[in-house]
Amino acid sequence: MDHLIKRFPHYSKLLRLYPVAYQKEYGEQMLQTLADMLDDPHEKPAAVWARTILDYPISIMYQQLSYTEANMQHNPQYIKRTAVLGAWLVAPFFLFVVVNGTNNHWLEHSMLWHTNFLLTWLVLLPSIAVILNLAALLRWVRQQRNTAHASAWKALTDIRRTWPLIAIALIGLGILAVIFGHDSVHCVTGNPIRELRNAHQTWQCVQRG
Amino acid sequence: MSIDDISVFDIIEIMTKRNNSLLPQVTFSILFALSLKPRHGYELMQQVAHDSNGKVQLGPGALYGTIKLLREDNLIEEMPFESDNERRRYYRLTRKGLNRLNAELEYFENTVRLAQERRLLGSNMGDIIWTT
Repeated sequence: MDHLIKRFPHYSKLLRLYPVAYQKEYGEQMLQTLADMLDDPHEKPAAVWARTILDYPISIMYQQLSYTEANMQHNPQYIKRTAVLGAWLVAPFFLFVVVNGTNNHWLEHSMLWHTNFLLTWLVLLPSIAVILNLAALLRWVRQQRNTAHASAWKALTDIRRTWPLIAIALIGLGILAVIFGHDSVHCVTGNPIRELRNAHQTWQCVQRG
Repeated sequence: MSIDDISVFDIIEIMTKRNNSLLPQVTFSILFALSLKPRHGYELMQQVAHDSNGKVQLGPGALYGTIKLLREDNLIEEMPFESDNERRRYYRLTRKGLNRLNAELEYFENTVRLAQERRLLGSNMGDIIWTT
């Protein structure tokens, strides 16, 4: 194995981006196969490298997705359900922001822009999403501490299992930060497409608050 | 089970589940290449390229990704093999893999027969009169 790593130092580093289990099972064989391809006098080295490099990104994406999917299947139901519920709760924010931006600020003249409704989709729903997902995260940590005797930090950073909860909680917190951290919701919700195109001006607007 | 019990993750799972009705090209090519004898990775690549007249050229990622799927489905297995290089691992068809390959070949045989009957193969293509 060592001499293959020495022979292909860059490729063996790239192989580290595969999921660990896949690397352990197939990493050495992939290096050996590459060596076999290059040692074959009938093969042109440039063609071998081109084939290997072109094949790499698709393969790595596929393997990462496949291992993520396999991990999700082992996730407890409450993690999946809470994450899906959280996604539904933050979805109106993105939906209304896009609709408002692409429909000449149509929302601003509708019922949805009245204070109570505005508070609901801007503040209440994302807050519920954050609370539910953090609660599920805490439940996971407690469960891991009690059953697997894992430390709280280890359970919390088990990203393969907890990423849906963490992702939704961060999205929810991001929405709340934009609204409460800066009085700058108008910078983002006015016309999101234009504002994304003029990211620098949007950022200046957010900083001004 | 009610509709409420189905989450988005279940739907994704169903959508991404491998379709067992027909094998993808690379999967079929690897099973076909293993039908002659057990092979290691590079031998498989060469045989697949040979069988497909050079049309299917695999890289290491595609090859071992497919080998992983085939092993998970128990269609091929790793086998002990006396070799000059112990890093090379050899794979062979399982009984299930052989049955799967036979089923696939039967399908292709039937398709080729139908194509011949319909004069769709090779130079006969010129005989087709297109109608609107």
